[in-house]
Amino acid sequence: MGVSEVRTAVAMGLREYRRTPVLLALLVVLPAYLVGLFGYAAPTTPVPLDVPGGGETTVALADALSVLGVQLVTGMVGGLVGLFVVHSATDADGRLVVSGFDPASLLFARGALVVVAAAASVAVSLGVLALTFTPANVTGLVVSGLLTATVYGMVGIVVGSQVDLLAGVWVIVFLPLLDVALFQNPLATETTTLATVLPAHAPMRLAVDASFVSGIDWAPLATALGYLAVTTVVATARYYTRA
Amino acid sequence: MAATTDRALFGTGHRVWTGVKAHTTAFFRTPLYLVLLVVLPAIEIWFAGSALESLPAVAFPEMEASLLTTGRLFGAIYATAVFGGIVGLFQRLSADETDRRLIIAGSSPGRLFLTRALTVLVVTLGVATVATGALVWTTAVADPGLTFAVLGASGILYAFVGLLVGSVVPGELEGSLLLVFLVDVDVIFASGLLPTDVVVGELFPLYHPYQVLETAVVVGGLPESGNHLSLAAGYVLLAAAVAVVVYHRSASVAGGGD
Repeated sequence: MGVSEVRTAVAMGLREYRRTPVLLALLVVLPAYLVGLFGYAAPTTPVPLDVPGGGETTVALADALSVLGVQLVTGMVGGLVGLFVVHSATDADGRLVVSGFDPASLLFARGALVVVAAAASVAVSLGVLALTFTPANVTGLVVSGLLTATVYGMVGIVVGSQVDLLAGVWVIVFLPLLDVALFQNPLATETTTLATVLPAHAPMRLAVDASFVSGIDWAPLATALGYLAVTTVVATARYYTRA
Repeated sequence: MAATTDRALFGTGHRVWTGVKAHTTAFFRTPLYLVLLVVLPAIEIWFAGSALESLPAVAFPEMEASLLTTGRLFGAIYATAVFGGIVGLFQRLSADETDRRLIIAGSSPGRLFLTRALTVLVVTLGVATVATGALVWTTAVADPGLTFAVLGASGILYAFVGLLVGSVVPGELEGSLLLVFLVDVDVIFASGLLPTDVVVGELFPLYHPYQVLETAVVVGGLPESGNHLSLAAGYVLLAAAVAVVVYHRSASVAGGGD
């Protein structure tokens, strides 16, 4: 994998982002809209919450839902960007590989574009969250947001390499909502078996811990990184097959 | 004179019908679309019910239906709205190049819009049928006819929003992002999954259809209080009108005016 090839491919991808100001604006406005609205409109009613590293505690409903909003935003943005990156890149990447580009460099560059979009959505949503809520451990919340976004980015790449764009969008819009907002809802009193195997399970545990207790339990991080590694391997295999 | 007008109208109707037939055939000829169109709404309805059932009722004191039923309604209205919206968006975006050429060749933007809109409506009503079937299968539905009608209207509302978004944003990623955020926030507020006292919750387009849907499923008939039916219809008409105007303007500009 040549460093100069990676640098060129990443620079091309970033230039493509720069040429789509509407996309850049949406990556800022939409996360701010969702997280901001959740924080503004949800009541501060105290609700019981099972915090993985701190046992059962009582928090304001608005805070719990705002944290959920951050994870939902990062999952949706990551998934859609992953899906579109693989769709828009495949034809061009196939030609670049034929002309001598290393597929690993191209894949690394495409992954970097997903990470850039993920980082933007995490930064914006946490910035807006900070207006209404101060998390106990900001680093933990940043890590959990990035993990949700990148895992869903890889899921988006896998889905995008299997089906066409319309079908891929359908699948990707259903997954994060079901997983993050419904199955991993921090207010849930019990966790179903299905919820534990979904991509956002470990990042959401990390996020809840980081938001409400300072002594964070990092155990879910290993699971989340494992999930990321597996989805990355699958996404890489699918990408190589297509490119 | 009257005969000429009749022939012209027949010709226009025939062309629109041919266009709708061609687009819907192209859509339904893709087996994967058909599978997803049936499977995804059913999965969403089933799992949304199961997931919401595990939430504490104390957090949602004003919810009228049980959390299980609310989850199923959430899944049904979300599936219909998001499918309708995305099909509308992709129809509009994929039509861009073709329609532009047809407008230059003399076709009317209005007729082309009608063709696209009717295609989207056919697909959306298909999703509403599947969602109604899945609801009846998983939940005791008091009024299946009204349930189908309100789900269809919700899908049509977002189908027009999708057509509108497709006319104003430059690409599929931007359009999909915008649409998904709009539908997600709308359904979360409309269903009461995010309970709120502020008036903003009632301004979302799916708030009124959801109230009608909840009453249709839980007790049957229309809600006794509130003007939900006419407000829901008003949102659909407003979305349709804005979508038509914006399409007409963008298509006319792209095609060199008409």
